[in-house]
Amino acid sequence: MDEIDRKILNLLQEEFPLDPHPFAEIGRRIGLEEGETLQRVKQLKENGLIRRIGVVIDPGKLNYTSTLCGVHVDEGRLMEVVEAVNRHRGVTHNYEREGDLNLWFTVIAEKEGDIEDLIQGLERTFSLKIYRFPKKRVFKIKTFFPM
Amino acid sequence: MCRIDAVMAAPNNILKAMPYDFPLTERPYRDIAVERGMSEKELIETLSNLRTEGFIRRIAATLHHRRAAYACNVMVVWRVPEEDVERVGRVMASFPEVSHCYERGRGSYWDYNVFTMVHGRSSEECADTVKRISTETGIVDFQLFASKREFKKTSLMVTNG
Repeated sequence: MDEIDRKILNLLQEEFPLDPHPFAEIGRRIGLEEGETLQRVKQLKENGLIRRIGVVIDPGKLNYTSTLCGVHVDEGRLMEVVEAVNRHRGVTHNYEREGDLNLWFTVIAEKEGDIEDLIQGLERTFSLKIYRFPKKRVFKIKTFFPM
Repeated sequence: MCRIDAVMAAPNNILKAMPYDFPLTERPYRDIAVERGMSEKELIETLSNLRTEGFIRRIAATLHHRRAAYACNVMVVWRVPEEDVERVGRVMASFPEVSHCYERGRGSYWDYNVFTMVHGRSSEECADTVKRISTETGIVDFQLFASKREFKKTSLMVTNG
């Protein structure tokens, strides 16, 4: 990865141009031809630096609700629980963290009831006590990693 | 893939038809549009409207932050007096190292009510950011929970059923 790749990554994180020739547009900003820009982006994707390029939706605007869940899971059963949690389409994030509540995941759904059903199902199956930290106010959602 | 009538379709249906990951071609919008029976121009206009209306936050790349040298991500929970949440939330959100900042319910578990995600190249960098946030907001009761393993990270996909 060189300086040009860094510039590309910074631009792409801010915005993928809504333009018939998005790669020409990015290239124009950093002095590259369309073809080379596209080639570099492909390479950054293949190298795994870029996860995806796409539409970032505002779930709230589409009337989705979401809840953050924290739960203590014994080490020996962790992977089993992780698999069950990840199987749900409404689970968008799932992290092992330090601390007593060692597994944290977010559940998103169109109906509040669907979130509860999912959580209660997991609680029953694995005899867990899952704590819910529902979203009340959003101050920021913007992941940008300066490269 | 079903055909989309750009004029008639509800935002949900248009977003349902968008690929999670755009094709890496010279004309990605044309390629997406053609598959869905739209013109490139129609698709670009539709997406532009959805962005203006706020259904689309942005169209952009998401990185693998660990591979992009941001090895550390810490969830920090803060105890903020109710009447101070608005001010503190705004200050925390202004830190570029903070990607998410929410007021959340306490979950009948603890007294912490503001949650932030802090990113850095190392745990020292993260700890330093947290210290600066604390100084700037005056919130001194907080806890850090560093991530150990990432098991899932996706974005919401609007899908059928």
